[in-house]
Amino acid sequence: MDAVEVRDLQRTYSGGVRAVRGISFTVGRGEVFGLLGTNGAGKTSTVDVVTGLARPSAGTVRVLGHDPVRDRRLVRPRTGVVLQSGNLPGDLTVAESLQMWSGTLTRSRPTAEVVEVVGLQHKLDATVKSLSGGERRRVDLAVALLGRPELLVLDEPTTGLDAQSRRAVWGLVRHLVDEGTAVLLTTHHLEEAEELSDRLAIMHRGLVAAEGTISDVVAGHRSEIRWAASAGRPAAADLDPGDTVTVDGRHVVVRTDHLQRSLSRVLAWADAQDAALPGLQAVPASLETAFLELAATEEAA
Amino acid sequence: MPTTTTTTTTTTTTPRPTATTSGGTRGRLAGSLHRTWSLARAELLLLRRNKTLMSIALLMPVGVIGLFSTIEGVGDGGDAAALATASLVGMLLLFVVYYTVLSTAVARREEGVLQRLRTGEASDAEILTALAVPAVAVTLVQTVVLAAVGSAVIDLPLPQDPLLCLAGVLVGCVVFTGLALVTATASKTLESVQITSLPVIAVAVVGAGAAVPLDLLPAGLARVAEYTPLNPVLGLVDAGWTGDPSGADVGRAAAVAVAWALVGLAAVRARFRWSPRV
Repeated sequence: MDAVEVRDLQRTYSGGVRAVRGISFTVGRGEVFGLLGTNGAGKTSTVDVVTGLARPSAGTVRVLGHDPVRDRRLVRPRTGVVLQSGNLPGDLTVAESLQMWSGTLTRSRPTAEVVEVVGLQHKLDATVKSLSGGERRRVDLAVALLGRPELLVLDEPTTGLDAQSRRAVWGLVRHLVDEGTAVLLTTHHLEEAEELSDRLAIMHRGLVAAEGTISDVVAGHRSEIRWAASAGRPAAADLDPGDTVTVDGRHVVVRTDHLQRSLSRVLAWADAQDAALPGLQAVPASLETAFLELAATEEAA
Repeated sequence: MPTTTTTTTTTTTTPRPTATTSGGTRGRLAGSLHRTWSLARAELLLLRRNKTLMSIALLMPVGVIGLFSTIEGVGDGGDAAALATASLVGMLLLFVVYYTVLSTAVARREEGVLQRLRTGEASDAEILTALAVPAVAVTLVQTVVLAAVGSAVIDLPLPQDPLLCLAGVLVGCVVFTGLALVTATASKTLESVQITSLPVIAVAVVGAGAAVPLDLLPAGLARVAEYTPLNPVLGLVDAGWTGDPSGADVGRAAAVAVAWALVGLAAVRARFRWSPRV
Protein backbone atom coordinates (compact mmCIF):
# COMPACT_ATOMS: atom_id res chain seq x y z
CA MET A 1 0.00 0.00 0.00
CA ASP A 2 1.34 3.41 -0.95
CA ALA A 3 1.66 6.10 1.70
CA VAL A 4 -0.33 8.53 -0.45
CA GLU A 5 -2.70 7.79 -3.33
CA VAL A 6 -4.23 10.70 -5.19
CA ARG A 7 -6.71 9.94 -7.97
CA ASP A 8 -8.29 12.51 -10.28
CA LEU A 9 -8.10 15.17 -7.57
CA GLN A 10 -9.86 18.43 -8.25
CA ARG A 11 -10.14 21.43 -5.99
CA THR A 12 -12.36 24.35 -6.85
CA TYR A 13 -12.64 27.38 -4.58
CA SER A 14 -15.82 29.32 -3.99
CA GLY A 15 -15.96 31.78 -6.86
CA GLY A 16 -15.18 29.03 -9.33
CA VAL A 17 -11.37 29.20 -9.30
CA ARG A 18 -10.12 25.72 -10.22
CA ALA A 19 -6.81 25.41 -8.37
CA VAL A 20 -6.41 21.68 -9.07
CA ARG A 21 -7.97 20.26 -12.22
CA GLY A 22 -7.69 16.50 -12.01
CA ILE A 23 -4.31 15.16 -10.92
CA SER A 24 -3.17 11.69 -9.89
CA PHE A 25 0.00 10.49 -8.23
CA THR A 26 1.23 8.12 -5.55
CA VAL A 27 3.92 8.36 -2.89
CA GLY A 28 5.49 5.05 -1.89
CA ARG A 29 6.83 4.21 1.54
CA GLY A 30 10.45 5.22 1.95
CA GLU A 31 10.20 7.46 -1.07
CA VAL A 32 10.50 11.21 -1.58
CA PHE A 33 7.93 12.46 -4.07
CA GLY A 34 8.52 16.03 -5.21
CA LEU A 35 5.67 18.26 -6.31
CA LEU A 36 7.13 21.07 -8.38
CA GLY A 37 5.46 24.02 -9.95
CA THR A 38 5.39 27.73 -10.44
CA ASN A 39 3.55 29.94 -7.95
CA GLY A 40 -0.18 29.28 -8.28
CA ALA A 41 0.34 25.88 -9.90
CA GLY A 42 -1.86 24.18 -7.29
CA LYS A 43 0.80 22.62 -5.05
CA THR A 44 -0.42 24.01 -1.74
CA SER A 45 -4.05 23.33 -2.66
CA THR A 46 -3.03 19.71 -3.21
CA VAL A 47 -1.15 19.58 0.09
CA ASP A 48 -4.18 20.99 1.94
CA VAL A 49 -6.24 18.03 0.72
CA VAL A 50 -3.55 15.44 1.44
CA THR A 51 -3.15 16.77 4.99
CA GLY A 52 -6.91 16.74 5.53
CA LEU A 53 -7.16 20.51 5.95
CA ALA A 54 -9.54 20.69 2.97
CA ARG A 55 -11.90 18.33 1.20
CA PRO A 56 -11.43 17.55 -2.48
CA SER A 57 -14.06 18.95 -4.84
CA ALA A 58 -13.76 15.70 -6.82
CA GLY A 59 -11.53 12.65 -6.86
CA THR A 60 -10.14 10.59 -4.01
CA VAL A 61 -7.19 10.88 -1.67
CA ARG A 62 -5.97 8.07 0.60
CA VAL A 63 -3.24 8.65 3.15
CA LEU A 64 -1.75 5.52 4.74
CA GLY A 65 -4.87 3.75 3.50
CA HIS A 66 -7.37 6.19 5.02
CA ASP A 67 -9.44 9.20 4.05
CA PRO A 68 -7.47 12.10 5.60
CA VAL A 69 -10.61 14.08 6.51
CA ARG A 70 -13.03 11.36 7.62
CA ASP A 71 -10.35 9.24 9.32
CA ARG A 72 -8.38 12.16 10.74
CA ARG A 73 -8.03 10.44 14.12
CA LEU A 74 -6.29 7.49 12.46
CA VAL A 75 -4.14 9.45 10.02
CA ARG A 76 -2.79 12.32 12.15
CA PRO A 77 -0.80 10.24 14.65
CA ARG A 78 1.15 8.83 11.70
CA THR A 79 1.86 12.02 9.76
CA GLY A 80 4.04 15.07 10.27
CA VAL A 81 3.39 18.31 8.44
CA VAL A 82 5.33 21.48 7.72
CA LEU A 83 3.01 24.07 6.25
CA GLN A 84 4.07 26.99 4.10
CA SER A 85 1.97 29.44 6.12
CA GLY A 86 1.38 27.78 9.50
CA ASN A 87 2.87 29.22 12.66
CA LEU A 88 3.27 28.52 16.33
CA PRO A 89 2.28 31.15 18.93
CA GLY A 90 4.97 33.85 18.82
CA ASP A 91 5.06 34.50 22.57
CA LEU A 92 5.83 30.90 23.50
CA THR A 93 9.46 29.84 23.76
CA VAL A 94 10.81 27.06 21.57
CA ALA A 95 10.81 24.67 24.55
CA GLU A 96 7.23 25.59 25.48
CA SER A 97 6.07 25.17 21.88
CA LEU A 98 7.57 21.71 21.65
CA GLN A 99 6.17 20.71 25.04
CA MET A 100 2.74 21.93 23.97
CA TRP A 101 2.86 19.92 20.77
CA SER A 102 4.33 16.88 22.42
CA GLY A 103 1.45 16.85 24.90
CA THR A 104 -1.02 16.43 22.04
CA LEU A 105 0.73 13.42 20.52
CA THR A 106 0.03 9.74 21.00
CA ARG A 107 3.65 8.65 20.61
CA SER A 108 5.98 11.57 21.06
CA ARG A 109 9.72 11.45 20.72
CA PRO A 110 11.57 13.15 23.57
CA THR A 111 11.65 16.83 22.62
CA ALA A 112 15.39 16.98 23.39
CA GLU A 113 15.93 14.44 20.61
CA VAL A 114 14.28 16.51 17.88
CA VAL A 115 15.84 19.71 19.20
CA GLU A 116 19.23 18.14 18.65
CA VAL A 117 18.25 16.88 15.20
CA VAL A 118 17.29 20.37 14.02
CA GLY A 119 20.10 22.11 15.90
CA LEU A 120 18.08 24.42 18.10
CA GLN A 121 19.65 23.56 21.46
CA HIS A 122 20.83 27.13 21.93
CA LYS A 123 17.40 28.61 21.21
CA LEU A 124 15.19 26.69 23.61
CA ASP A 125 14.44 29.70 25.80
CA ALA A 126 13.95 32.12 22.91
CA THR A 127 10.40 33.10 21.98
CA VAL A 128 9.29 31.92 18.57
CA LYS A 129 8.69 35.50 17.43
CA SER A 130 12.31 36.41 18.17
CA LEU A 131 13.68 33.70 15.85
CA SER A 132 14.90 34.28 12.32
CA GLY A 133 12.87 32.86 9.44
CA GLY A 134 15.23 29.92 9.11
CA GLU A 135 15.11 29.15 12.83
CA ARG A 136 11.31 29.22 12.79
CA ARG A 137 11.39 26.76 9.93
CA ARG A 138 13.54 24.49 12.04
CA VAL A 139 11.05 24.68 14.92
CA ASP A 140 8.35 23.75 12.41
CA LEU A 141 10.40 20.77 11.32
CA ALA A 142 11.00 19.73 14.91
CA VAL A 143 7.25 19.81 15.54
CA ALA A 144 6.63 17.70 12.44
CA LEU A 145 9.18 15.12 13.60
CA LEU A 146 7.95 14.85 17.20
CA GLY A 147 5.27 12.27 16.40
CA ARG A 148 7.57 9.74 14.67
CA PRO A 149 5.74 10.18 11.36
CA GLU A 150 5.42 7.48 8.72
CA LEU A 151 4.54 10.21 6.24
CA LEU A 152 6.10 13.66 6.24
CA VAL A 153 4.42 16.40 4.21
CA LEU A 154 6.79 19.29 3.62
CA ASP A 155 5.31 22.35 1.93
CA GLU A 156 8.25 24.56 0.85
CA PRO A 157 10.32 23.41 3.86
CA THR A 158 13.48 25.37 3.11
CA THR A 159 11.99 28.71 2.17
CA GLY A 160 13.94 31.38 4.02
CA LEU A 161 16.80 29.07 5.00
CA ASP A 162 20.42 29.87 4.24
CA ALA A 163 22.40 27.45 2.09
CA GLN A 164 23.96 25.66 5.05
CA SER A 165 20.62 25.14 6.83
CA ARG A 166 19.00 24.03 3.59
CA ARG A 167 21.59 21.33 3.10
CA ALA A 168 21.15 20.27 6.71
CA VAL A 169 17.40 19.86 6.11
CA TRP A 170 18.13 17.81 3.02
CA GLY A 171 20.40 15.57 5.06
CA LEU A 172 17.70 15.18 7.67
CA VAL A 173 15.08 14.27 5.07
CA ARG A 174 17.39 11.68 3.54
CA HIS A 175 18.02 10.21 6.97
CA LEU A 176 14.27 9.92 7.62
CA VAL A 177 13.71 8.31 4.24
CA ASP A 178 16.43 5.78 4.97
CA GLU A 179 14.43 4.87 8.08
CA GLY A 180 11.36 4.24 5.88
CA THR A 181 9.52 7.55 6.13
CA ALA A 182 7.59 8.60 3.02
CA VAL A 183 7.95 12.26 2.09
CA LEU A 184 5.69 14.45 -0.01
CA LEU A 185 7.76 17.53 -0.78
CA THR A 186 6.53 20.66 -2.53
CA THR A 187 9.13 23.13 -3.60
CA HIS A 188 9.90 25.66 -6.26
CA HIS A 189 13.63 25.13 -5.74
CA LEU A 190 14.62 22.85 -8.62
CA GLU A 191 17.95 22.08 -6.97
CA GLU A 192 16.08 20.83 -3.91
CA ALA A 193 13.80 18.64 -5.98
CA GLU A 194 16.78 17.19 -7.86
CA GLU A 195 18.67 16.57 -4.63
CA LEU A 196 15.87 14.85 -2.75
CA SER A 197 13.18 13.45 -5.02
CA ASP A 198 13.06 9.82 -6.05
CA ARG A 199 10.15 10.71 -8.30
CA LEU A 200 8.44 14.00 -8.99
CA ALA A 201 5.57 15.68 -10.76
CA ILE A 202 5.66 19.10 -12.33
CA MET A 203 2.38 20.95 -11.86
CA HIS A 204 1.27 23.83 -14.01
CA ARG A 205 -2.07 25.55 -13.76
CA GLY A 206 -3.66 22.81 -11.70
CA LEU A 207 -2.51 19.91 -13.88
CA VAL A 208 0.45 17.53 -13.85
CA ALA A 209 2.53 18.46 -16.88
CA ALA A 210 5.15 15.72 -16.34
CA GLU A 211 5.72 12.92 -13.87
CA GLY A 212 8.30 10.22 -13.18
CA THR A 213 11.90 9.93 -12.07
CA ILE A 214 14.14 12.87 -12.85
CA SER A 215 15.55 10.90 -15.82
CA ASP A 216 11.99 10.26 -17.07
CA VAL A 217 11.07 13.92 -16.82
CA VAL A 218 14.31 15.14 -18.37
CA ALA A 219 14.18 12.56 -21.18
CA GLY A 220 12.80 14.11 -24.32
CA HIS A 221 14.11 17.53 -23.37
CA ARG A 222 17.14 18.70 -25.29
CA SER A 223 20.56 19.84 -24.22
CA GLU A 224 21.75 23.29 -25.22
CA ILE A 225 24.96 24.84 -26.53
CA ARG A 226 24.98 28.62 -26.44
CA TRP A 227 27.39 31.51 -27.11
CA ALA A 228 27.24 35.22 -27.83
CA ALA A 229 25.40 36.05 -31.05
CA SER A 230 28.16 38.46 -32.07
CA ALA A 231 30.31 35.44 -33.00
CA GLY A 232 27.88 34.39 -35.71
CA ARG A 233 25.92 31.18 -36.19
CA PRO A 234 26.64 27.95 -38.09
CA ALA A 235 24.54 26.73 -40.98
CA ALA A 236 22.40 23.63 -40.45
CA ALA A 237 24.84 21.63 -42.59
CA ASP A 238 27.65 22.36 -40.11
CA LEU A 239 25.76 20.63 -37.29
CA ASP A 240 24.50 17.21 -36.37
CA PRO A 241 21.33 16.18 -38.20
CA GLY A 242 18.30 17.03 -36.06
CA ASP A 243 19.95 19.90 -34.19
CA THR A 244 18.24 23.28 -34.31
CA VAL A 245 19.87 26.70 -34.23
CA THR A 246 18.08 29.81 -33.05
CA VAL A 247 19.11 33.26 -31.92
CA ASP A 248 17.64 33.85 -28.52
CA GLY A 249 18.17 37.51 -27.67
CA ARG A 250 21.93 38.02 -27.58
CA HIS A 251 22.77 34.32 -27.77
CA VAL A 252 22.98 31.68 -30.42
CA VAL A 253 21.33 28.52 -29.07
CA VAL A 254 21.85 25.05 -30.52
CA ARG A 255 19.40 22.45 -29.18
CA THR A 256 20.46 18.84 -29.49
CA ASP A 257 19.88 15.28 -28.34
CA HIS A 258 23.60 14.48 -28.58
CA LEU A 259 25.49 17.09 -26.60
CA GLN A 260 29.04 15.79 -26.97
CA ARG A 261 28.80 15.15 -30.72
CA SER A 262 27.14 18.50 -31.41
CA LEU A 263 29.69 20.34 -29.28
CA SER A 264 32.47 18.80 -31.38
CA ARG A 265 30.69 19.97 -34.55
CA VAL A 266 30.27 23.49 -33.19
CA LEU A 267 33.95 23.69 -32.18
CA ALA A 268 35.01 22.36 -35.60
CA TRP A 269 32.87 25.02 -37.28
CA ALA A 270 34.36 27.74 -35.07
CA ASP A 271 37.94 26.54 -35.87
CA ALA A 272 37.13 26.56 -39.58
CA GLN A 273 35.83 30.12 -39.26
CA ASP A 274 38.72 31.05 -36.99
CA ALA A 275 36.02 32.42 -34.69
CA ALA A 276 36.07 32.74 -30.90
CA LEU A 277 32.80 31.84 -29.16
CA PRO A 278 32.42 34.26 -26.22
CA GLY A 279 30.38 32.89 -23.31
CA LEU A 280 30.34 29.37 -24.69
CA GLN A 281 28.24 27.03 -22.53
CA ALA A 282 27.21 23.41 -22.96
CA VAL A 283 24.13 22.78 -20.80
CA PRO A 284 22.96 19.18 -20.50
CA ALA A 285 19.22 18.57 -20.30
CA SER A 286 18.25 19.07 -16.67
CA LEU A 287 15.22 19.42 -14.50
CA GLU A 288 15.51 23.17 -14.88
CA THR A 289 15.49 23.07 -18.68
CA ALA A 290 12.65 20.54 -18.64
CA PHE A 291 10.69 22.64 -16.15
CA LEU A 292 11.12 25.86 -18.08
CA GLU A 293 10.32 24.16 -21.35
CA LEU A 294 7.15 22.57 -19.94
CA ALA A 295 6.02 25.84 -18.42
CA ALA A 296 6.63 27.67 -21.68
CA THR A 297 4.82 24.99 -23.70
CA GLU A 298 1.80 25.04 -21.39
CA GLU A 299 1.80 28.83 -21.41
CA ALA A 300 1.79 28.87 -25.20
CA ALA A 301 -1.00 26.27 -25.29
CA MET B 1 21.76 22.31 10.75
CA PRO B 2 24.42 24.49 12.29
CA THR B 3 24.80 22.96 15.71
CA THR B 4 25.74 24.63 18.95
CA THR B 5 26.57 22.78 22.09
CA THR B 6 25.25 25.38 24.57
CA THR B 7 22.06 24.03 26.08
CA THR B 8 19.97 26.35 28.23
CA THR B 9 17.02 24.10 28.94
CA THR B 10 16.67 20.36 29.00
CA THR B 11 13.29 19.18 27.83
CA THR B 12 12.33 15.55 27.70
CA THR B 13 9.07 13.84 27.11
CA THR B 14 8.32 10.26 27.92
CA PRO B 15 6.35 8.51 25.19
CA ARG B 16 2.80 7.97 26.40
CA PRO B 17 0.68 4.89 25.76
CA THR B 18 -1.69 5.11 22.84
CA ALA B 19 -4.65 6.72 24.54
CA THR B 20 -6.68 7.04 21.40
CA THR B 21 -6.36 3.53 20.14
CA SER B 22 -6.59 1.50 23.32
CA GLY B 23 -8.74 1.61 26.35
CA GLY B 24 -12.01 2.37 24.57
CA THR B 25 -14.11 5.36 25.55
CA ARG B 26 -12.25 6.05 28.77
CA GLY B 27 -8.92 5.98 26.94
CA ARG B 28 -10.22 8.31 24.25
CA LEU B 29 -11.57 10.70 26.88
CA ALA B 30 -8.27 10.67 28.76
CA GLY B 31 -6.40 11.30 25.51
CA SER B 32 -8.75 14.12 24.62
CA LEU B 33 -8.40 15.74 28.04
CA HIS B 34 -4.61 15.42 27.85
CA ARG B 35 -4.45 17.09 24.43
CA THR B 36 -6.84 19.84 25.48
CA TRP B 37 -4.92 20.50 28.68
CA SER B 38 -1.63 20.61 26.82
CA LEU B 39 -2.94 23.30 24.47
CA ALA B 40 -4.80 25.12 27.26
CA ARG B 41 -1.68 25.26 29.41
CA ALA B 42 0.09 27.03 26.54
CA GLU B 43 -2.83 29.47 26.27
CA LEU B 44 -2.64 30.14 30.01
CA LEU B 45 1.08 30.87 29.63
CA LEU B 46 0.29 33.31 26.85
CA LEU B 47 -2.36 34.95 29.02
CA ARG B 48 0.13 35.31 31.86
CA ARG B 49 2.52 37.10 29.48
CA ASN B 50 -0.19 39.50 28.30
CA LYS B 51 0.27 42.28 30.86
CA THR B 52 -2.81 44.24 29.78
CA LEU B 53 -5.14 41.29 30.11
CA MET B 54 -3.61 40.21 33.39
CA SER B 55 -3.96 43.72 34.82
CA ILE B 56 -7.63 43.79 33.88
CA ALA B 57 -8.16 40.33 35.33
CA LEU B 58 -6.55 41.33 38.62
CA LEU B 59 -7.93 44.86 38.96
CA MET B 60 -11.47 44.18 37.83
CA PRO B 61 -12.56 42.43 41.06
CA VAL B 62 -11.17 45.33 43.13
CA GLY B 63 -12.99 47.88 40.98
CA VAL B 64 -16.25 45.97 41.06
CA ILE B 65 -16.15 45.56 44.85
CA GLY B 66 -15.47 49.30 45.11
CA LEU B 67 -18.43 50.01 42.82
CA PHE B 68 -20.72 47.68 44.77
CA SER B 69 -19.79 49.37 48.04
CA THR B 70 -21.38 52.60 46.76
CA ILE B 71 -24.74 50.94 45.99
CA GLU B 72 -27.17 51.55 48.81
CA GLY B 73 -28.64 48.40 50.31
CA VAL B 74 -26.36 45.99 48.49
CA GLY B 75 -25.56 44.23 51.76
CA ASP B 76 -29.21 43.69 52.62
CA GLY B 77 -29.87 41.22 49.84
CA GLY B 78 -32.89 41.93 47.65
CA ASP B 79 -32.91 43.93 44.39
CA ALA B 80 -29.67 45.86 44.89
CA ALA B 81 -27.68 42.70 45.58
CA ALA B 82 -29.34 40.90 42.69
CA LEU B 83 -28.53 43.81 40.37
CA ALA B 84 -24.93 43.89 41.56
CA THR B 85 -24.32 40.19 41.06
CA ALA B 86 -26.09 40.13 37.71
CA SER B 87 -24.02 43.10 36.53
CA LEU B 88 -20.86 41.38 37.62
CA VAL B 89 -21.57 38.07 35.91
CA GLY B 90 -22.87 39.84 32.80
CA MET B 91 -19.67 41.90 32.55
CA LEU B 92 -17.50 38.85 32.99
CA LEU B 93 -19.34 36.86 30.33
CA LEU B 94 -19.34 39.70 27.81
CA PHE B 95 -15.93 41.25 28.32
CA VAL B 96 -13.83 38.40 29.66
CA VAL B 97 -15.33 35.36 27.90
CA TYR B 98 -16.90 36.77 24.74
CA TYR B 99 -14.44 39.52 23.86
CA THR B 100 -11.30 37.68 24.92
CA VAL B 101 -12.19 34.45 23.11
CA LEU B 102 -13.20 36.45 20.03
CA SER B 103 -9.99 38.48 19.86
CA THR B 104 -7.82 35.47 20.69
CA ALA B 105 -9.46 33.34 17.99
CA VAL B 106 -9.01 36.02 15.34
CA ALA B 107 -5.41 36.71 16.37
CA ARG B 108 -4.47 33.01 16.35
CA ARG B 109 -6.19 32.48 13.01
CA GLU B 110 -4.49 35.43 11.32
CA GLU B 111 -1.09 34.36 12.71
CA GLY B 112 -1.63 30.92 11.11
CA VAL B 113 -1.56 29.23 14.52
CA LEU B 114 -4.98 27.58 14.22
CA GLN B 115 -4.09 26.13 10.84
CA ARG B 116 -0.82 24.78 12.26
CA LEU B 117 -2.54 23.22 15.25
CA ARG B 118 -5.02 21.54 12.91
CA THR B 119 -2.21 19.55 11.31
CA GLY B 120 -1.63 17.77 14.61
CA GLU B 121 -3.56 15.15 16.53
CA ALA B 122 -5.79 17.55 18.47
CA SER B 123 -9.35 17.65 17.18
CA ASP B 124 -11.08 20.88 16.18
CA ALA B 125 -13.15 20.80 19.37
CA GLU B 126 -10.04 20.30 21.51
CA ILE B 127 -8.24 23.22 19.86
CA LEU B 128 -11.17 25.59 20.33
CA THR B 129 -11.87 24.42 23.88
CA ALA B 130 -8.25 25.06 24.81
CA LEU B 131 -8.51 28.53 23.27
CA ALA B 132 -11.39 29.37 25.62
CA VAL B 133 -9.95 27.86 28.79
CA PRO B 134 -8.06 30.95 30.06
CA ALA B 135 -11.07 33.24 29.68
CA VAL B 136 -13.41 30.74 31.29
CA ALA B 137 -10.93 30.09 34.12
CA VAL B 138 -10.56 33.82 34.79
CA THR B 139 -14.34 34.22 34.81
CA LEU B 140 -14.88 31.37 37.26
CA VAL B 141 -12.08 32.53 39.56
CA GLN B 142 -13.31 36.13 39.48
CA THR B 143 -16.86 35.04 40.27
CA VAL B 144 -15.69 33.02 43.27
CA VAL B 145 -13.30 35.74 44.47
CA LEU B 146 -15.98 38.42 44.16
CA ALA B 147 -18.53 36.35 46.02
CA ALA B 148 -16.05 35.69 48.85
CA VAL B 149 -14.51 39.15 49.02
CA GLY B 150 -17.88 40.86 48.47
CA SER B 151 -19.33 38.90 51.34
CA ALA B 152 -16.42 39.69 53.66
CA VAL B 153 -15.99 43.37 52.78
CA ILE B 154 -19.44 44.73 51.89
CA ASP B 155 -21.74 42.01 53.22
CA LEU B 156 -22.79 40.95 49.71
CA PRO B 157 -25.00 37.90 50.28
CA LEU B 158 -23.40 34.58 49.35
CA PRO B 159 -25.13 32.42 46.72
CA GLN B 160 -27.95 30.42 48.30
CA ASP B 161 -27.75 27.69 45.68
CA PRO B 162 -24.10 27.67 44.57
CA LEU B 163 -24.57 24.74 42.18
CA LEU B 164 -27.32 26.50 40.24
CA CYS B 165 -25.21 29.63 40.24
CA LEU B 166 -22.19 27.73 38.93
CA ALA B 167 -24.33 26.00 36.30
CA GLY B 168 -25.56 29.40 35.15
CA VAL B 169 -22.05 30.78 34.83
CA LEU B 170 -20.81 27.64 33.05
CA VAL B 171 -23.64 27.56 30.52
CA GLY B 172 -23.04 31.28 30.02
CA CYS B 173 -19.39 30.53 29.26
CA VAL B 174 -20.43 27.99 26.62
CA VAL B 175 -23.01 30.36 25.11
CA PHE B 176 -20.58 33.27 24.83
CA THR B 177 -17.66 31.11 23.69
CA GLY B 178 -19.87 29.84 20.85
CA LEU B 179 -20.96 33.37 19.97
CA ALA B 180 -17.35 34.57 20.09
CA LEU B 181 -16.23 31.87 17.64
CA VAL B 182 -19.14 32.63 15.31
CA THR B 183 -18.25 36.32 15.44
CA ALA B 184 -14.60 35.43 14.75
CA THR B 185 -15.64 33.82 11.49
CA ALA B 186 -17.23 37.12 10.46
CA SER B 187 -14.21 39.19 11.58
CA LYS B 188 -11.57 39.78 8.93
CA THR B 189 -8.92 41.30 11.17
CA LEU B 190 -8.16 41.80 14.83
CA GLU B 191 -9.00 45.49 14.42
CA SER B 192 -12.44 44.71 12.98
CA VAL B 193 -13.34 42.80 16.16
CA GLN B 194 -14.22 46.13 17.79
CA ILE B 195 -17.02 46.53 15.26
CA THR B 196 -18.13 42.93 14.71
CA SER B 197 -18.56 42.39 18.46
CA LEU B 198 -20.99 45.29 18.85
CA PRO B 199 -24.22 43.56 17.71
CA VAL B 200 -23.79 40.66 20.16
CA ILE B 201 -22.80 42.96 23.03
CA ALA B 202 -25.69 45.38 22.30
CA VAL B 203 -28.32 42.64 22.02
CA ALA B 204 -27.02 40.92 25.15
CA VAL B 205 -26.92 44.13 27.21
CA VAL B 206 -30.34 45.40 26.09
CA GLY B 207 -31.90 41.93 26.33
CA ALA B 208 -30.65 41.50 29.89
CA GLY B 209 -32.19 44.81 30.91
CA ALA B 210 -28.83 46.39 31.66
CA ALA B 211 -29.40 49.34 29.32
CA VAL B 212 -33.14 49.87 29.86
CA PRO B 213 -35.08 48.07 32.60
CA LEU B 214 -37.20 45.41 30.93
CA ASP B 215 -40.24 46.67 32.86
CA LEU B 216 -40.10 49.84 30.78
CA LEU B 217 -40.12 48.00 27.46
CA PRO B 218 -43.35 47.22 25.61
CA ALA B 219 -44.63 43.77 26.57
CA GLY B 220 -43.75 42.28 23.17
CA LEU B 221 -40.16 43.51 23.29
CA ALA B 222 -39.78 42.42 26.89
CA ARG B 223 -40.93 38.97 25.85
CA VAL B 224 -38.37 38.89 23.02
CA ALA B 225 -35.66 39.99 25.45
CA GLU B 226 -36.19 36.80 27.42
CA TYR B 227 -34.81 34.90 24.45
CA THR B 228 -31.63 36.93 24.00
CA PRO B 229 -28.41 35.15 25.06
CA LEU B 230 -27.53 36.89 28.32
CA ASN B 231 -31.03 37.14 29.79
CA PRO B 232 -31.60 33.44 30.56
CA VAL B 233 -28.03 33.01 31.82
CA LEU B 234 -28.45 35.83 34.32
CA GLY B 235 -31.85 34.38 35.23
CA LEU B 236 -30.13 31.15 36.26
CA VAL B 237 -27.37 32.98 38.15
CA ASP B 238 -29.90 35.20 39.91
CA ALA B 239 -32.03 32.21 40.91
CA GLY B 240 -28.95 30.47 42.27
CA TRP B 241 -27.66 33.54 44.08
CA THR B 242 -30.93 34.50 45.74
CA GLY B 243 -32.13 30.94 46.22
CA ASP B 244 -35.48 32.07 44.85
CA PRO B 245 -36.36 29.97 41.81
CA SER B 246 -39.67 31.80 41.59
CA GLY B 247 -37.72 34.94 40.68
CA ALA B 248 -37.06 33.41 37.30
CA ASP B 249 -38.56 30.59 35.41
CA VAL B 250 -35.50 28.38 35.86
CA GLY B 251 -36.68 25.70 33.47
CA ARG B 252 -37.39 28.18 30.68
CA ALA B 253 -34.14 30.05 31.30
CA ALA B 254 -32.17 26.81 31.25
CA ALA B 255 -33.84 25.68 28.02
CA VAL B 256 -33.19 29.00 26.27
CA ALA B 257 -29.59 29.15 27.45
CA VAL B 258 -28.90 25.57 26.37
CA ALA B 259 -30.55 26.28 23.01
CA TRP B 260 -28.19 29.26 22.50
CA ALA B 261 -25.24 27.06 23.43
CA LEU B 262 -26.25 24.33 20.97
CA VAL B 263 -26.97 26.76 18.13
CA GLY B 264 -23.62 28.47 18.69
CA LEU B 265 -21.68 25.21 18.75
CA ALA B 266 -23.48 23.92 15.64
CA ALA B 267 -22.67 27.15 13.80
CA VAL B 268 -19.02 26.90 14.82
CA ARG B 269 -18.85 23.29 13.67
CA ALA B 270 -20.33 24.16 10.30
CA ARG B 271 -18.80 27.54 9.54
CA PHE B 272 -15.72 28.28 11.64
CA ARG B 273 -12.88 29.69 9.59
CA TRP B 274 -9.48 28.18 10.40
CA SER B 275 -7.15 29.66 7.81
CA PRO B 276 -5.91 33.25 7.67
CA ARG B 277 -7.62 35.64 5.27
CA VAL B 278 -4.82 36.45 2.81
